[in-house]
Amino acid sequence: MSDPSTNISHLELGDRNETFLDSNELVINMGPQHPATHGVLRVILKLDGEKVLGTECVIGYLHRGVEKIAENRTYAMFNPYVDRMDYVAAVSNGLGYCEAVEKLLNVQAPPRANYIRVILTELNRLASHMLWLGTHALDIGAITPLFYTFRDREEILKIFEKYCGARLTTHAFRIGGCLYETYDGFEKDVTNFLDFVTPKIDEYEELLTTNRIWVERTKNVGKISGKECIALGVTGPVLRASGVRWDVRKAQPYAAYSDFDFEIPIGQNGDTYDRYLVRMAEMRQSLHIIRQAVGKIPEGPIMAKVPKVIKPPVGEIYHSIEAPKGELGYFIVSDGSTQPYRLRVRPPSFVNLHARHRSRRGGPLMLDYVTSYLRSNTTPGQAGNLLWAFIYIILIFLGLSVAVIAMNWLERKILAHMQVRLGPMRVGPHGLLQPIADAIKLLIKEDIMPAEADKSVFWIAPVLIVITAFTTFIVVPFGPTHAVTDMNIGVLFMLGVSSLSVLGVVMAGWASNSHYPLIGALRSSAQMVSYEIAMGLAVVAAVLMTSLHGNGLYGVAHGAVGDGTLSMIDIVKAQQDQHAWFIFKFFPLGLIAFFIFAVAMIAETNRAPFDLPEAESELTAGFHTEYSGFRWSLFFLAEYSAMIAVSSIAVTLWLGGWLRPFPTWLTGETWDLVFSLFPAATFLLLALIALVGTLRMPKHPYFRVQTLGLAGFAAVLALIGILLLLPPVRDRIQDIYWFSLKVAGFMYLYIWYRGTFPRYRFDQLMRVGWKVLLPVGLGVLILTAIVGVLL
Amino acid sequence: MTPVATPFFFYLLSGLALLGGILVITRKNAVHSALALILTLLALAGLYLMLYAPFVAGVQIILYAGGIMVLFLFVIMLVSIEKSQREDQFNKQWIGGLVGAVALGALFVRVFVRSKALHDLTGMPMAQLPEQSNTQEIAVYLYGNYMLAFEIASLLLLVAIIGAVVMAKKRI
Repeated sequence: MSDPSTNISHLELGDRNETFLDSNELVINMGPQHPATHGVLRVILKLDGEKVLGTECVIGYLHRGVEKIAENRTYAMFNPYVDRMDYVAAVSNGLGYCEAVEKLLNVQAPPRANYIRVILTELNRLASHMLWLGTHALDIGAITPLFYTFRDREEILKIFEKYCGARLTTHAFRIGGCLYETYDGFEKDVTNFLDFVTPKIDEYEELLTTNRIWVERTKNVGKISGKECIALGVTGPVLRASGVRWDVRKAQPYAAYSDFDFEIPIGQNGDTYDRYLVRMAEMRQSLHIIRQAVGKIPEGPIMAKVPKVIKPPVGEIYHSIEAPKGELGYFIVSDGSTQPYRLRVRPPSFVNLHARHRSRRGGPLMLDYVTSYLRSNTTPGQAGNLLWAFIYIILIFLGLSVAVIAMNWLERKILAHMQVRLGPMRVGPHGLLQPIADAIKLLIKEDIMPAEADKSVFWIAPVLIVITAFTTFIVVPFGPTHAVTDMNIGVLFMLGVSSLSVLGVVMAGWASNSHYPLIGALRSSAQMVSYEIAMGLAVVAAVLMTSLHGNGLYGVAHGAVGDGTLSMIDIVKAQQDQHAWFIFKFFPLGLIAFFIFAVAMIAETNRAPFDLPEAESELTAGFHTEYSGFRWSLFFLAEYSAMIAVSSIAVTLWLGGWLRPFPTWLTGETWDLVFSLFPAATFLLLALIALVGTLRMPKHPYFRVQTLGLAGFAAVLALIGILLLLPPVRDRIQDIYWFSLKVAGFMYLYIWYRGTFPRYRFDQLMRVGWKVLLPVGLGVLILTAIVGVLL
Repeated sequence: MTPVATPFFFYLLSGLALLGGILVITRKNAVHSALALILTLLALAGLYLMLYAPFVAGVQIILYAGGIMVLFLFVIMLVSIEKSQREDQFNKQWIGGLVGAVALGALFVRVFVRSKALHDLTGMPMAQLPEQSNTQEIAVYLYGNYMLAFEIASLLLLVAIIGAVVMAKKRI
């Protein structure tokens, strides 16, 4: 608007007059301690809803007076201090400093030292870029890349540790060369690492480069032109992503860089996506450089002749190198004594941050981590049998609690295995008792209520959420007779009661009397209302199908007026009668409606990639930031039961509810018997897995209790399996088994999404809801009606 | 099927509805008022269920409690509460309000007495729709007998939506 260069195509800086209905600005403090400010940066944001109107960066929380310290240390004594300046790129810092002093002394490091220097700095560049990639993705809500990159970065740190003993503040170089000779097998270690990491970089790219949400979150975000970069002194990948081919390694070659052949990757648009691509390409170039260097490290000394007491001649020098984040320069003024008269560091991050500050665009460009912060914008009930209804309620309540506990464990375990880690392993065998330990911890944790909170509302909110989440299960049909009650308006009831849970979210967010929860609550309510419409349309399409038997409108052949139904049980029966799950009916109409519902239900339950109300990298924890202990756990109890509830609706409406697969194709007593053995087989299989786990436990006295526990668990599972083999149990449990299995499939999908997708930005979320799902839903509804009448 | 409409539930739900209604106008904090209104709406939904009108009850929950009230809260939460709490709450029109309340009450009593008398006189049974077909009946009336009126109403709402968007947004 005011300055065309600061325009962001779809989320311009808000003009004060454009604010919606003159609503108030919200001032929010991000950092210095915040999940998305890696380091201690503080940004004060002025928000209009999701739009950032202005930002103010408050720096200096990590100010350690490095330059002043330099004036009181000898040249050699100051050397370790530079490692701490950018502690994820300590090697580069050291290289820059040593070379600057060498230049001042007019000393040349021997070629062997230069080669070692290049190898270590390029490894460090890889490590730094990996850390950037992992945390950057994490801030956008993709948690998996972090674990991949940290796994691979570990290999680099191992090499550093073997070389000089340090992992983080790698003090590898000395003025005049290197302190250490390479250890035995250094070259082999590096070569092995290169072979190991080359395919891994493709792996990161597979996860992100073409990932739709990733592209939408980063393209055209934080655009900065090459001219602006130069004017503001921005360097490094940020500058190159804006299309400026400037790399100190090429422009003013230092160390041994002139010996190697490598390219300078550049971008065109100068947006976050290009910065990502540039960094990925740079990682590959670094590998290329290391591969060239490691093969031909020259023989010779590693230290030049440097006097014991370093006393440079009077003069001044500026020397800069290409650190992972940009140009790192040292300006040293010498008065001929043993200590620098003045030492000035030109750090890349500080200058890059300054650019972000100047362009008033919110979110630190510091290490370019946060893409953009918030800018972004006949059942017992029917029979009136109170006793049985009560028993069913208790059973469902217990079953649900067990399911939530199991889900808690499974989510951590499955997610962990997707992210190449083990997940909980300490409490009980394979962490099986972890959820119980967590529950105990949460129960005895201090219950904190903010002093300024609205006490009563703060108290009611989690209770309300849990009540609504559990109430929906009244009408969930686990079988033709296995439900608490069957209502004439089953689907409506479920949608209605589950839509009430948003009230709890809104109440919690407001009552906390804090800005982060409030924004979380606002996001939640807008999101729920928006997606409920698309969800409703999909549901109507499915309900419509119940009345369409292929006999024309109202199922005329049946003679009855209105055969359609809203009852959960009758919907499944309709699928049984029509010999088709509704997902396959009027192909592909049923499938599209199902897809709309499947997307909307993730948004309704605030799960990734639609977990904006509790987006931890932006709102710390969203609407439940101020909650702790047991109240907090109630939110999660409710979230998991709501996930199960909406999955139940999806299963009932589209996946044939409790019906077993192929009820019409594979008929006959044999097939009935085969399918009735499935529940028992499942439990026996689980028992087998547990048994294998028992046998694979380490044979050490320390693990004896765990081994016994796992064996006991296997025995219990096997016992349940055998129990399920008994004919009377077998026949009764069938429906519940198939229903639960289908719901479990959805639960797995939830976890899978979370491990795969980054988080949508709010305007993109709204766009998907209103501009994609809603029109498509309307279209499907109309087409279903037309097809139904015509057929 | 034994009716669940026991007097206990009737009085409980009516009591909750009244309590919520009173809280709506007496709370100083607008958010509390809105929450009390939700209580009233939910109690009313319960009453509809007791009258064998599950569809109306469901729609009451989805539209009013789940939809409209969320939007209400959405707006209220952004208003500075401190400011509104300092403001005078009642506009001192006691007499007008009292007259209106008495007139409405009298009307209700009159209708109740008359219909009861009429019922006793004719001995006609109270119309009782079975729960199972209530929703279907509504659908038949809405999309059959009164289709035109229904469509006109929906068109009117569409116009209102577009109007609201046009008025609220300066630039589309």
